[in-house]
Amino acid sequence: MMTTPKEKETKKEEKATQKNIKLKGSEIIKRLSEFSEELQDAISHDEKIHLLVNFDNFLKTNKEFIKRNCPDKLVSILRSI
Amino acid sequence: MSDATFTKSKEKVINCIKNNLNIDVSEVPISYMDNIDFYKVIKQNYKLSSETYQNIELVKERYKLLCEIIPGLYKWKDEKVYIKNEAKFDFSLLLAELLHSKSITKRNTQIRKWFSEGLIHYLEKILCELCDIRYIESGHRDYFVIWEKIYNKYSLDVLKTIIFAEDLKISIGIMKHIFHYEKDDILKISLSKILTLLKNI
Repeated sequence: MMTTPKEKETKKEEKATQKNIKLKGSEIIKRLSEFSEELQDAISHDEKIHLLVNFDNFLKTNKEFIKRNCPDKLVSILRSI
Repeated sequence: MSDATFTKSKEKVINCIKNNLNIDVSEVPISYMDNIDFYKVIKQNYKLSSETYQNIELVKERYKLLCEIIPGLYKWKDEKVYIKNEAKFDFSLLLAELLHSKSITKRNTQIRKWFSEGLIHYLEKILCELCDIRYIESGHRDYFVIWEKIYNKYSLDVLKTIIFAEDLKISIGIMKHIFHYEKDDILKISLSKILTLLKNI
């Protein structure tokens, strides 16, 4: 079956969107790992408080993705708090 | 107060919460009611001790008293704000009840005592000042000393995260680090001990 130029364009866009989601997802996972390390490395109480506030903001923005794709990482961080 | 002014004032409260805490409470249902209906809500929301229930007159008296003292409440079960008609124009009350709707205090009495009745009403005070809303002094001001100290040393963001965190562990974690208290569960230690720990902040 022949694909029309319009269909080709739509497929291209879909692929690009999927790539964006993947890229965004990998960034989220990377940041989640960084938070885990930063929380372990934080020495002062104030630094930890600041990190927890930032972590909560990050969690609120990306919770759907995190719950769906890497709940184990989230549980591990929450346990360490 | 005209209907238009009333709606505008309500919107001011909702916008104040959105602009300062980035929390959307615009969808939370609000019900204004007369004293008889409010009495029914109070009865459904507050359970008395089993001993009290043995005396019907005492039950009536207790609920009547609660109804006189409480001007409004957020009912977790209905996910709705109930306000007495006579308190309709108390917009600081509305602000506090709307904040309750998004807090993490559900089903935890210790948290409810400190965080909900202390922190929520302290935030009510702060937001009323920031948004120029008439503030009516809270009956929960005994707890304010904790939150005032934390607000002065840290920020509104820290207070916000304690009460509206995505997970209770984050709230507890922040409290532990604030009080340099890592051994026990911060929620199990008494208020008097918290007040002692406050000196170290």
